[in-house]
This record gives sequence, structure tokens and C-alpha cells, in this order.
Amino acid sequence: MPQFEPGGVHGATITFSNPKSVGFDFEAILCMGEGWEEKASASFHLDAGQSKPMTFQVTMPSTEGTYPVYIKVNSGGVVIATFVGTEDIVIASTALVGLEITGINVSPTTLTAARHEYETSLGLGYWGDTFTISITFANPFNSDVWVKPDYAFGKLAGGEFGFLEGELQGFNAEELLYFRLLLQSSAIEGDYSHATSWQKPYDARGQNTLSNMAFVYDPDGVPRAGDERWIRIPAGGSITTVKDAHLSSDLQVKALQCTTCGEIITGSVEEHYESNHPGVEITCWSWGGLSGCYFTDGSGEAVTTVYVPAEGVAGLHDLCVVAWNAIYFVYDPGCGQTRVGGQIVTLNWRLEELVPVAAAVPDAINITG
Amino acid sequence: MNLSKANGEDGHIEVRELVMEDPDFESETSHVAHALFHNPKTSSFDYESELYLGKTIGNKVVTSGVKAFSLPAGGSKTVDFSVNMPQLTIPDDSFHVYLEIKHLGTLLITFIGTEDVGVFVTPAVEVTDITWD
Repeated sequence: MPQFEPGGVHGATITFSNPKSVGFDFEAILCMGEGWEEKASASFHLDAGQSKPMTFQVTMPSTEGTYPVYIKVNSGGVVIATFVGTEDIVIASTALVGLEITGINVSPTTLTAARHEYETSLGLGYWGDTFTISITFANPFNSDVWVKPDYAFGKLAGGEFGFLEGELQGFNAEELLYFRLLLQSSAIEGDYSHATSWQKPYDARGQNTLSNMAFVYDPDGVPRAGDERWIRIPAGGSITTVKDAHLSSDLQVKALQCTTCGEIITGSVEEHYESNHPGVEITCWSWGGLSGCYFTDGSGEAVTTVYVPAEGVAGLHDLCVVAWNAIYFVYDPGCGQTRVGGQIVTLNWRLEELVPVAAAVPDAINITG
Repeated sequence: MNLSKANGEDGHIEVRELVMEDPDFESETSHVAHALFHNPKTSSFDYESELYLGKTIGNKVVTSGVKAFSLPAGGSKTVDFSVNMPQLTIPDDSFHVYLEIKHLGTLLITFIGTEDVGVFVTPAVEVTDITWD
């Protein structure tokens, strides 16, 4: 069964023959669907016994489904014959599956849990190590596709990876990325940064400089999909988007380090010294929320405060990239209206959503102390 | 359909009735006319009869072919004449109906229908299957 995209234009060629001994004028109409919707027509003359191929340019229906094809032939204003095509036409979008994430790169791959300062007009801010992530999408379809991807570090669960009924399976995201919301207005000011799991590769290299993310316009030039930026993957092509990103600034926790042996003390300092340094007298104190331990002989501090990676931070982490949102346009004349610059504009292109796609890179980064 | 003499002599045989369908026919379709013959003579005879369509007497555009039959003295009989309507090169045309009767190869009489037969061609079309690009 021939299968076409909704709204696509295709030629249907049919050879008509006049079996009679007299020439006649004919009008042939190609119809589709149970309702015999007229899609194209042609007028022609056939001499006695003559055959002639005729091509009808048919704009396919905008709604997916199976459509029978009918040919209605008139002569002298009277229907003289109707024919039904031996094959129905299937109208289906082929852009439903197949969008691919073909490349994911992180540089560098070895990072630390360190916290770095940066200055803002509102004071000091903090973020983690810098890295660059690049994601490449491939679009095998014959129409452009827009995606709004997310990425996260985490752990592959070991089972089936991918989407099942719209839910991502097989990956557990960890909160290892840095999120910053800098508010600087007359009403509220602040640098709200915190750890986050999923992040969008927005604003590659800052303020959209060099970013290949852009607003979405349909083929008629009408802005669509709101005021967010998407990555446009050209039909049959691929595109790479790059983001300079940061790890979270909250990957470390405070810990006490023994000044005698250098070991990180996770339990009681007194017990550590009794077990590991017998004969060394220490005194621990606590007052007003502060605490410390010093050598009783007055020779200095028994422990010092250091920052170490929080539990689960140090080590290898997998990387997952998903395109939860992926859209393309289907020709559907008059399918809706929108307001552009105060004017009501008729929409001729319907937005369709693709099934989400995901890809993962095992052991994408190693976070050291 | 009523008949009148086109040529020949009366008195040898009578055609009491010629029954046929609507005298307007689609080209190249077959139709049957039923003629009721009567022998007015006191002896039986053999006959050969042919029904044809034409523009003039003897102009046999289409014909039923010769039908042979016998009629006893004073007897009657219905003979069927099957005629294929002519192929036309114009959308419609009309023809006289002739009924020719012979005895032992000798023409007895030729009748002509008082009404002509109309022949027409209706447009028709055939198609191949559809090829999509």
C-alpha cells in the first residue's frame, strides 16, 4: 500500500482509454476517502480507441488514516464511470520514530567536587568544575524537527534503557549539575543557585552567543512553540549543540581530618585518638554551636576542618541525554489561528510531537576528591 | 413496427407483425426482432428471409443473415431475426429497417419499416491502475 506524509503532494498517473468508435471529451476526478473528497481533476479528449496517460497532482489528506482512491469520469456532464483503486493510500507520518542522538561528548572527563567562587553584583557566588558538553542529533526524516533536550549525570540502572509508555527507564539521575537563577530587579535580588539533576543545554556559551538554539517558525514564517528556544535539526541532516556547563557547587561536605595521621574522622574524635594514637591527650570542646579538639599539652589543634566529596559524588558517573520534546510540522491548511503582532493569522501547519528519544554514555565523567 | 412494401409483389407472403424493442439502440449491441409470417397461398412454400439495416434498399449495413423457413398453406409462423447494431464513427445515426423475403433465391418482396432505427454511441472509458510518485 502506498504510504505518504500528511499534506504531501504526489502525482497519480492513470492511463485512460476510449474503447468506443467515436471520440469524446472527458473530465476525470480523483477522489480520496469514504466521503469521495475531490482532490484533483483533469479534462481531456480521447479519439476513438485512443489511450492517454493523465497525471493528477494530489495533496494528501492532513489526517492520518487509510484512504480508498476513486476515479470518477464524466462526459457531457454525465457520470459515465467510476473506478476504485486496487490499493488504498495510507497517510501516516514517518517522522514518528527514528530521531537519533548520534553523539554525546563531555570534556574534560575527569572533574573534581571542588567549589569555585565567582563574583556577581550581588556578592560572591559559587559553582563547581566547568565542563563542556556537546550533543549531536540526526534527523532521518524529510521534514525539519525541533528538539528541546535535557541531560543529566547519574547511574544506568542496568536494565532496559529507553522510553516505556513515555517514561524514561533504566537511568537514575543524580543532582550533580549547577543551576543558577540570578535575579536582579527592583523587586527582588538574589543569586539562587542549587544542585539539579536534569538541565537543558540552553544559552550555549552564554546569552545565546554562538547558540544554535532558536525560536520555532512554521514554513509560513509564523512563530510557534512559544518563546522558548529549540534546536532545529534539518530534514535529513544533523546538528550539534554545545554548552559550557558547571557541576554543582554543593558536591562537598565538611569533615574533620586528624592532624596527627591525616585520616578523615567520621565518628568521635576522642575514639579515633584512643584507637589510633594512644597516649596522645586531647581535649574536645563545644560551645554555642562551635566545636573543636586540641592537644591537651597546648601544641595545637587535634583536628582540622576540610571539605570532602559528599557520599556518592566521587567516582564514575553515567550521562543521559533525552529529547523529551521533539516537534515537527504537518501541512494542515486552516488548522487553527494565532495572534502575531496583534493580527489574527490562520495557521496552515499543525505541530506534531515525536516520541521521545534517549541516549546514554556509561562512565562519562569521573569525579575525584 | 409497421411495414410497407419497398419493392417486389404483394400476395406471395404476408408479414402480419414485426415486433422489436425501442427503436433506439446502443451501437454494437445485439437485438432480436420477431416477425410473424403468413402464407396466403393454397400450397406450402419454402422461404428465405433476411432483416437488415441500411440507408437504402440493398445497402446492408448490418444484417441478421438469411433465415430459412417453411409455411404450410394458410399457415403462420414467427421467425426471430438477431441483428448487431452497427459500429458508428459519429455519436449517433439512423437506419431504415428492411425485411427481404425470397423463394428459391428469387426475391418475392422487400418490406421497409415505417419507423427508422436510431443508433447511438455512449461514451465509455477504461483505466489502468494508478501509479503514484
